[in-house]
Amino acid sequence: MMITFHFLLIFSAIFRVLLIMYGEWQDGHMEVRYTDVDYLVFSDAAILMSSGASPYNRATYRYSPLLAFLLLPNASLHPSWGKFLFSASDLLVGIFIRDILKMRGVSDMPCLFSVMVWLFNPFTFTIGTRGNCEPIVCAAILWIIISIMKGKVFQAAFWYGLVVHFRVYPVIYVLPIILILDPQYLQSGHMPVLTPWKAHWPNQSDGVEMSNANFILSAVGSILTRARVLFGLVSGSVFLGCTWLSFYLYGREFLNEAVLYHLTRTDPRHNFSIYFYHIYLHYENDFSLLEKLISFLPQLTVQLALIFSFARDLPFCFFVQTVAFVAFNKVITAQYFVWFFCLLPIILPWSSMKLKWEGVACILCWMVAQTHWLMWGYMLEFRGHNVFLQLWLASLLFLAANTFVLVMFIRRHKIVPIFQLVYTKSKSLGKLE
Amino acid sequence: MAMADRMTATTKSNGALTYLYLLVYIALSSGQIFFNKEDGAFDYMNDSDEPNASIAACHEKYISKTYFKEHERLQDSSFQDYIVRVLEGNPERVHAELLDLHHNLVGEGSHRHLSSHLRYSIEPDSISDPSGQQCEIILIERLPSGVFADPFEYQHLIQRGVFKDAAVFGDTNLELPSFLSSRSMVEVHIEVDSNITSGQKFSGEVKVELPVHARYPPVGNDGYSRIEFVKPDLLLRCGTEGSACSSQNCSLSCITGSADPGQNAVSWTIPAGIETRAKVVSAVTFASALLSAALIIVVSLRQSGIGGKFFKQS
Repeated sequence: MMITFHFLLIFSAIFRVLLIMYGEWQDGHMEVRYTDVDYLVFSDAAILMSSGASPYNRATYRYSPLLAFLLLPNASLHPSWGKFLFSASDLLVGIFIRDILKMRGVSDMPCLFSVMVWLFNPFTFTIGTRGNCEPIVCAAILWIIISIMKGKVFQAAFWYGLVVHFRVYPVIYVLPIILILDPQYLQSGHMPVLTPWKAHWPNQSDGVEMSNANFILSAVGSILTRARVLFGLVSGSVFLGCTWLSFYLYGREFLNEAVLYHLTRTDPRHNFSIYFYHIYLHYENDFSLLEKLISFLPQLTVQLALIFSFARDLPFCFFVQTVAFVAFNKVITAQYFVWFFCLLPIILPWSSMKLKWEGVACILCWMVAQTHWLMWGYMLEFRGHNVFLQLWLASLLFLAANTFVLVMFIRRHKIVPIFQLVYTKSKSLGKLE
Repeated sequence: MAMADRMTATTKSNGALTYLYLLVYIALSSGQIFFNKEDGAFDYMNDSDEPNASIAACHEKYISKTYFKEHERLQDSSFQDYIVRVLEGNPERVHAELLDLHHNLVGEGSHRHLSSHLRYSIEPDSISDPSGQQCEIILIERLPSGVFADPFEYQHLIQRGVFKDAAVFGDTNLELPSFLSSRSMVEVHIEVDSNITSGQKFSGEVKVELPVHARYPPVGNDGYSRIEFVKPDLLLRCGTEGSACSSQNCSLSCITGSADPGQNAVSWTIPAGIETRAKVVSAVTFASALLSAALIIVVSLRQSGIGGKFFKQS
């Protein structure tokens, strides 16, 4: 198994290096660039930062100064440094997936399959080699999961504060993390006990030692525990510290471009979201408070329902939350998909969904809906036909496909809390003695 | 047990080493910023001259730049007055005539090329330096509302040698729809590939294709919005070969002629949202979102066993 995994990793690394080299060739010799437009934005911002100027002098740079900071060697070393960094993060995600599954006791074959689902996903290896920064976020999210699994609350909190500063969306994970840091799972001075994976789960109740309702009630009732307070304080401090430092260095430009833009973004241009046409048709008029609330309600209620249903199965909770968050967001671009692609491998060994034919149905349904949307998008943007209505209907179909896939995963998933109850375990040991 | 202890120790030391590498990286990168000079905003389109006058001098890099220092927005009439004043304020030592101009829009969809194919003739009036003049054509496209140019795209074209130089002025926000944005302008410099010597008439032709993009137009009732382009402004700037244009040897003239008076204005028909559909679209959008949300919520609660008496566990 170790030899096979290392072979996978080395092969993936070589493949990514070759892709980066090909990308450089295509950029220099063809009209259509391989490199993502966003990478040029990051790179320019890094060059500005290296000369002491503000990265926000670069139009459309809407990220934390931390990203430009990470890409400073683009200016001094090589313009492709960032691509190598992102691709390395991509490989790191593969390593973290393997680590998480091994810690939970998954056997070799399902583990290897899950790692391959990430490393050989065409979307995955193009996104890093084209210069998109999402693999860094994915690696950080998985590292946070690993830290929580090891009971390292401080470490998890530090990286969580950092990643929320870097990208706002991981804020949706705060509630399940707070819930899982329960004293019934985490005892001071001891590592939490992970629920081992089984190849077969004949009984629905296997692995569930306490009903979900009781867990939620118990967690809410004792919300101010040491681990939760520590997590909140450390992650909040790191987030505020990074935000304050960025504001101190770059002022209101940082706030407007890197924070407020993402919180208030309503892009009327066509994208996968069902809201794009509604936003475009109403863009000349301000949205009323009622309209804003109605558009936020599905997102909020789904997130709360998923959290309260699956928080104990933390990786699965993260996955379903992310799929739902992307599907109900006001703006959806293709790079958002990698946010849940990196979480899919760590839930697959607990799914009873077989590739034939439910798995294939989910893949086909999602890809056909996406391709259908892209076809109408092409007709609008590159052929100049007025197909706004058809494109909007295609986005409704895409939401339906996302809902179908999400429902299928939920129905076929074996809900297993990531931690075992320490309190119950010690009681059992007491009885045996 | 001893092996487990050694593995734990190895893991801890690897973790510490990783954090140490990160700290070294942060220190080196911070040092790079700290020790570099702060030379102000890095702007592809700025040159180092900061003209104080209300019109551009001949030798300044971009003729249009001074206009935008005086005016917030582009207006055709005021820009044409500005060009007249620029020409009057700068010497004309080389006379240029426009023989033919074909101006049209090439391509389909929201991303097209504004093509200008011009034939011209050049005749210098007098040359102070007999070693020859190098000339460049300055083409200025005043883009209508609803169309924008991407400055970074033009920078890429300069790097590939398509233009000698190029700049975009005005509203360069790439994302806003047309009713929230102002007009913009593209100034492109194309080298004339010949030395101009006194007494010799020179003619040539040049074809320029400028990438332009459509903004989202205001919503309407017929599903399309029509935009018309004005003809480009064409100038000829000449200076002594091998040296940057200085105020002594620089010549600026307008390339005008009676070329193709019958050509229709270039127009672009852009798809637009249909206003009458707004209510139906909003209602169906919200209904779809609520329906999908309800389905996901019901399935989640059933599967997890929360609210057991309302949903039977499968």
